[in-house]
Amino acid sequence: MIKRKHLSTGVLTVIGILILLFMYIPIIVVVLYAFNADSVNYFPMRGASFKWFAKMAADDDLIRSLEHSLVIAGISTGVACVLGVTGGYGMYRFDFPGKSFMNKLVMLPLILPGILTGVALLTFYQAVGIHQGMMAVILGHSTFLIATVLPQVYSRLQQLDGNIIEAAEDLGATSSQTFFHVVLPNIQTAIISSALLSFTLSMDEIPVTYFLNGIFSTLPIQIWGMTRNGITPEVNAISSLIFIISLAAILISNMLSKED
Amino acid sequence: MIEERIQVSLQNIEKSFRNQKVIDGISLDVRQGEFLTLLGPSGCGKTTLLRMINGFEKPDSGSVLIDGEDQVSVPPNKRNVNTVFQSYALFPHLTVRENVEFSLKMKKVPEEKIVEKVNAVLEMTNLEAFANRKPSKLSGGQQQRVAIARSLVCEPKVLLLDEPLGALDLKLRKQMQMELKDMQKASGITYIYVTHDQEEALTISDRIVVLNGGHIEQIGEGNDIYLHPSSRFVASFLGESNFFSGDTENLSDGRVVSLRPEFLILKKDRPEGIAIPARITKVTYLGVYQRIELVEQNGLKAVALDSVDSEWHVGDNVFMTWDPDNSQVIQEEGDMVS
Amino acid sequence: MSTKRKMFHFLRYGILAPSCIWLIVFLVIPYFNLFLYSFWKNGAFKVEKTFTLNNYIRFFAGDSSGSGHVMILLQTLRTSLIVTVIAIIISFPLAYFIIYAVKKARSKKILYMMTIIPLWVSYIMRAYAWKIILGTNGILNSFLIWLGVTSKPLDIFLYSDASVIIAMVHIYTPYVMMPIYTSLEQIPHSLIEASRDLGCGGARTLGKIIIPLSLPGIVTGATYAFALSMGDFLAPSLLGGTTSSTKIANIVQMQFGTSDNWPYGAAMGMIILVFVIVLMEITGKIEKHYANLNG
Repeated sequence: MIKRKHLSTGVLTVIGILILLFMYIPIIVVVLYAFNADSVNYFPMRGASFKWFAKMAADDDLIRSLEHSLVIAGISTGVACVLGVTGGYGMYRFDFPGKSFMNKLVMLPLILPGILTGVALLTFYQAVGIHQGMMAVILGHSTFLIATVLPQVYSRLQQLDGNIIEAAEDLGATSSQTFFHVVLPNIQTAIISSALLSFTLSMDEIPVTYFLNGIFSTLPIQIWGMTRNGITPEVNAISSLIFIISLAAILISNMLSKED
Repeated sequence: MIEERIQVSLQNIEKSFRNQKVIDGISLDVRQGEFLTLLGPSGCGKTTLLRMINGFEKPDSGSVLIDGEDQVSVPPNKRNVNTVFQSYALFPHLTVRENVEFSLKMKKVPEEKIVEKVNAVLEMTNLEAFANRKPSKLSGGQQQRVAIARSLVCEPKVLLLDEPLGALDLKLRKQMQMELKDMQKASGITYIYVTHDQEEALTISDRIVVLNGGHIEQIGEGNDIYLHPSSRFVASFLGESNFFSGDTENLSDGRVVSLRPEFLILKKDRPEGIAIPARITKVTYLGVYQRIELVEQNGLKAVALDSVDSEWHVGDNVFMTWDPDNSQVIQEEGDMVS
Repeated sequence: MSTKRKMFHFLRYGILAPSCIWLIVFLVIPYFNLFLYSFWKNGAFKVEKTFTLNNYIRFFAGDSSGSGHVMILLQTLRTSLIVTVIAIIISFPLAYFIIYAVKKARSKKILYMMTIIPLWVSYIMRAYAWKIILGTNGILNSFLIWLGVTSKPLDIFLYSDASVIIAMVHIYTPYVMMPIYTSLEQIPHSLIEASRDLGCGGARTLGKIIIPLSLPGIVTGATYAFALSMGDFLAPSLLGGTTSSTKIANIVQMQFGTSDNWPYGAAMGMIILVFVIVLMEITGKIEKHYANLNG
C-alpha cells in the first residue's frame, strides 16, 4: 500500500515536471538564442554573442515602436486606474439599478476575443471620425484595461471593514477627505498591482491595436511584422528584455499582494 | 450629572426599508449627561434609531433634534455626535495615535492643540503605551478603547455606542462595562448605547428604552422596568417571568399577572389566599439558589427560585403562592411574545 | 440592513459617472454599432446604410459574392475544443501535483508562481518561440539531426494545424491552470481524508470527490481558453498553413483588411459574439449549479 502511494507520487512528479518543461522550454529557447552567435536557430548553439542586442538597439523602427508602446501603456494605464478606482468605489458605495450588469459589462473586453473589441471600435471610430493612430489605440487600450483595475479595486474594498468609511464621516471628514485619507491608503496595493498588470497587458496587446493603429506601430505589432518576414534573433533579444522586465513586474506585484 | 435639559429629542420617527416598517412612530427624549440604553432583540429598530441620530439614515417622517436644532438635513460629518461602531472600524493603515488624531486633522485644528488633546485622551483611556502601534497589533479590549478615544477627542455632545462590547469575551465585557460607565460619569457626555443583552443594559444604564418591532415598549430605570414591566414582552425579555391568568388576583378579562421567579413561593400545604396546585418537573442547582420548574394541572409551566436549603424533588405536588405586592398586572396584548 | 448607505442624491453618484460614460461610449455604443453594421450593405466604394440580412445569409449559405464560412467556423470550434481539452489535461495533473504531491509550503508557492508567470510573458514571444522551435531550420529539426534521427530537416512541424494547436495550448494553459488550482486548493483536506477513511482508494477519491469539487474551476478555465482561442487570429497567421488552418477570426480580419467587406465582417463578429456570450451564460450556470451543490 505504502509502496503504491510512493509510486503514484513519483509518477505525478514526473508528469508535473514534464508539463512545466513544456511551459518553460519555449521561453528558455527564446532567451538562450538571443545570445546566439549565428543567425540560424540551430541546435546545438554555435557560440555566443551580444550582437543581436546591439542590432536591436540600433534598429530605429523597433526603438520607435517601443517608445510608442511605452507612451500608450503609460497613458492607458493611468486612464484605466482613474476610471477603475472611481468606478470600483462608486459600485462599492452605492446600490443602483444595473449594478450587476455593469459588473459583467466591465469584464467583457477582457473575456471576449480582442478581435471583436478591435473591429467594434474600428467601425465606431469610422462613424464618429476618430482617425486610426495613437489616440485611437489609447482609447481602445483604456477600455479593456478598466477590466483589470475595477474588479480588483472593488473586491479589495469589499474585504475592508465597511464601517471605516462611515467612521471617517462620523469623525467629521468630508467625502473627499474620506476618499483620500481612508479609502485610497487602504486600496493602494490593489491599485499598484493592477496597474502593473495593465501596463504589461498594454505593452503586449495586438488584436485590438491591429485594427486601430493605422500606419503607426507599437512594439508587439512591430515584432509581429518582423517574425512574419522570417526569423531574426533580434526578436529574441527584444523579447528576452521584455521578459525580464515582466518578471520584475510580477515579482513586485506579488510582493504587494503578500503585504495585505 | 444628569440634568433635566433635553439633549436629543426624537419626534414621531417613522422609517421603512423596502416597504417593511422598521421604526413605527417613535418619540424619545434623552437628557443631558445620562447613560441611556436602547435594548431590544435584533430587528427591533435600535441600530436604525442610532443611525438616525448620527445621520447615516434619514427618517421617512419625524424629526431628530439635538439641543433643540433639527438635524435631518445635517450630514453625518457636520453633526456634533460621534459613534463607536460595533466592529470598532479603526483605520487599519494608521497607528493608534493617528487614529485618535484623525478627526482633529480633518477639521484642521492647529498642530500643538492636536498634540495636547490627543495626549489627554490617550492618558484617560490608558493607551499611551500603545500609541505607536497599528490596530491589528492590539487586543480586542485595547481596540475598543481606541475606538472610544477616537470619538471622545472630538468632544461630542452625544456619544453613540452600537453594541460596542459584542465582540469581547464575557470576562472582558464585564470589565469594560464598568470602565465605560466610569468614563461616562467622568466626562459627563450623554451616552446612547445599543445592546440586545438585557443584563448589560441593567448593569450599565441610567435609563433603558425597551424596543420591540419598531416601537417603544417601555422607558424607565432598570430596576423599575424589571419590577414593573408594562407588557408581557418586557417581562419576558428582561429576565424570566411567570404569567398567571384567570381568577388568581380577581383580574378582569385580558389581563395577566407577571411574577418574577424569585417571588414565586412554594408550599407543601395549601396556603390561604392565592394557591395554585402544581407538580415539580425539574430541579436545577445554581449555587445559592435552586431553580424549580413546575407544571400546573392545565399544562401551563412556571419557574421558581428558592434557596438551596429547602428540599424539593421532582414529582412533588405543591402549591404556588405569592405576595400580590410583588406581582405586576399587565394587559395581554396582541403582539406578545410567546 | 445594508451597511452601505443608500443616497438618492444625484450628485453623490458623480463618482460613477466617468467609468459609466466611458463604458457606454467606448464599449456599448461600438458593439451596438457593429451590430448595426452587420445589417448594412457593402456597396462598391462605401457601405450603404440599407437594411439587409444578406451578410448572415451569406455566412451560412454562401451567395454570389462568395462562399459561406460555416465550415471554417466549425473547424475553428473543433480546434478550440481540442486546445481546451488538452489545456485541461495538462493543467489538472499539474495543479494536482503542486497541491498534493509537493509538501513544502514554500516550494508550493514557487511552483504555483511558475505556472502563472507565462501569463505575463508576451503573447508574441510565446508564439514566436514555437516558430523557431518547429521551423524547418528550427531547433527541433536540428536537434533531431544532431541526434541522428533524421538526416535532413522535416517540414511537417510548422505551418500545420498541429503547430497552431501546440502554440495555443501553450498560450492558453495558464488561463485554465489558475482557476483549477484555486478550486483544488479550496477542497478541505479533511474531505479527502474522510473519503480515504471510508475506504475509497486514490482513484475513487479522485473521481468521486476531487474532480466534482473542482469542476467549477475546470469550467471557468475551459471557458476562458475556448473563448480566447476561438478569437485568436495571430497564432494561425504566424504558425498555420496557408488554407488548412485559417480560422474564423482570420476571415473576420480579412473582411476589415484585404477583402474590405466591413458589413460581412461585422456579421461574423456578431456570430462569434453571440456564440461566446451563450457559451459563457451556459458555463456560468454550470458553475453556479456546482458551486451551490458544493457549498
